Amino acid sequence: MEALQWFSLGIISMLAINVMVYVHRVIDLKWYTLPLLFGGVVDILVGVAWCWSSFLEGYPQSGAMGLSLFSGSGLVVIIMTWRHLVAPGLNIPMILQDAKSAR
Amino acid sequence: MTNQVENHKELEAEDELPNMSRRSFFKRTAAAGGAAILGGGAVLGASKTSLQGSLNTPGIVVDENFKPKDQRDVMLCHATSYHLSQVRNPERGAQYARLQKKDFNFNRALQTFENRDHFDNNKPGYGQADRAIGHAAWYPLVVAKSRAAAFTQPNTPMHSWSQADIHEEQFDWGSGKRAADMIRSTGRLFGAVRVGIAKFDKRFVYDPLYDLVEERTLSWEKDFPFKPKSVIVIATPMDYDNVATAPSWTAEGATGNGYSDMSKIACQIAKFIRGCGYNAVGAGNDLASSVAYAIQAGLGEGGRNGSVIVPGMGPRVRLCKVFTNIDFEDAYDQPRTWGITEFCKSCKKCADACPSGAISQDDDTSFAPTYEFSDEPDYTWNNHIGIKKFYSDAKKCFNFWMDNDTSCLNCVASCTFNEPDFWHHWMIMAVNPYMPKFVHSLMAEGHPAFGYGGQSRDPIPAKVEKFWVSGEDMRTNTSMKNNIGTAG
Repeated sequence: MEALQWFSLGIISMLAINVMVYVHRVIDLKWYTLPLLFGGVVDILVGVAWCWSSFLEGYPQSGAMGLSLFSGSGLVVIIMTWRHLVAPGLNIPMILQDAKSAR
Repeated sequence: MTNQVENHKELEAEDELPNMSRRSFFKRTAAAGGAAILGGGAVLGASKTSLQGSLNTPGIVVDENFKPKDQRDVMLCHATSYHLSQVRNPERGAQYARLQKKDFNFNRALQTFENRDHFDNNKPGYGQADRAIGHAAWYPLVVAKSRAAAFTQPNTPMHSWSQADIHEEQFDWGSGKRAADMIRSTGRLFGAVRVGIAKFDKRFVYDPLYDLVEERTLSWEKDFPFKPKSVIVIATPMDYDNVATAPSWTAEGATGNGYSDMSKIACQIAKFIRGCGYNAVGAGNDLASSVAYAIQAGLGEGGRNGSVIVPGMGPRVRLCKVFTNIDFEDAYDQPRTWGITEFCKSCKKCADACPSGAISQDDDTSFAPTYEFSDEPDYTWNNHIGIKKFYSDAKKCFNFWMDNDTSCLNCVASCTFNEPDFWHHWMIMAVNPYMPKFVHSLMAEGHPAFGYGGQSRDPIPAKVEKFWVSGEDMRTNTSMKNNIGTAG
């Protein structure tokens, strides 16, 4: 079960990195945006890993607390960063147009 | 051919895109992934370094009043010995009874300890099975006629002082480090979770020693069979789920099993060393303060509850020792710090959970006891005064054992450092030395909030039940759960 946990977290980490690289490529971001996003992602991953391990060791209460505290705070950081620093520069129609013209 | 040309054109078109070059995207993703792996590796390395502990500690600090502890003044020794308790120092028991306003005598109370047939199967933790598991856990020592070592009796059959079986040829270890490595490996094989090696230090042995059977003092110079150079300190684990049932009779399973393991491992390592041609004598609670030697051997730090707190296990270990004349040269361990004693200054979970109120509620360590009645003449006879630490009133602790008709473990179960063996607890341990005082307080409060510890002064029925079903999947045990509390 622990092996599955680390494998899953590795996949989630890679997907998160993909999203961050993508955002960095298509938007002109302030220098502190990526560290904030990265911090939030790490926080969420720590929460998920903590939760999973707590269930494995038989302490679901610790899992719930870990998910709430670590992943919750990470989610808040990501949402705030996205809304205030990423979304204003994100022009979805233009990105879709770029993608179409590439075909 | 036509398809190849079209594909080439497509690739060229992608490279011309201002924001979405696929090749560039994957390059950056790979670079970021590599950076994340390197960053993770650096954090792991830093954590492992932190968990080694810092040598930046004075270890055990003593003042001018310090002198080696007379074994006759150790609580368990005094209570066990009829001579000490009833003839030599009867005033100690009388003073305790007068000040605590109760009819209590240390030696008399001990006579029926754990042998009163009064189980109640409707009371969780105090039923027939709960009584039986404690008796069973201690049974190897009873069979080996060595249980008295737990009450500081030296020279029991399992920790015999006889050196008659030393091999005539001395094995050449090669180096002090090689000797230490081989002995640590032997300890690991026999069931130890930690093995540290300290120089023999006369300050922390009991002097004089006392033979409870013959009721006479023993001398290190005249009676001990050789001149020790080193003390190997071994920690053996107690089961997490069983300890959590404290202070019930069920928890005596972990205590008794710990003592049986202690005696077995110390006895085996001593025999191994004698087989290699060197002197060795094993010891349980006898011969010296196990806590002091564990600190000297770098196994952990002294905690508020008087136990040594071992990183990763907390106080949930039992300690035994092997005295030997092997010289480990430059391979001796040194005292280390993980910020544990500092943490204890902010955390009072053990003191809050102590059913007898024996554990200090002080905000800092001191060189002498500060507990109730400690200013009464000779009331602190059981304490080793002159060491900077938290002082407990072992007389009250012992009194609770007798009333409870088993030992306790509540201070161990409630300790913030007592956690199952999982990576997230190690992570907290690694960052602990760098945390300020207010974070230590938050961590201490967070521990029960996360579902760990949270002992009350009475056994918690759900924890007793949890222990009794903890072996449910042991036929296959795919989680590899062991008695350290590991599943991995």
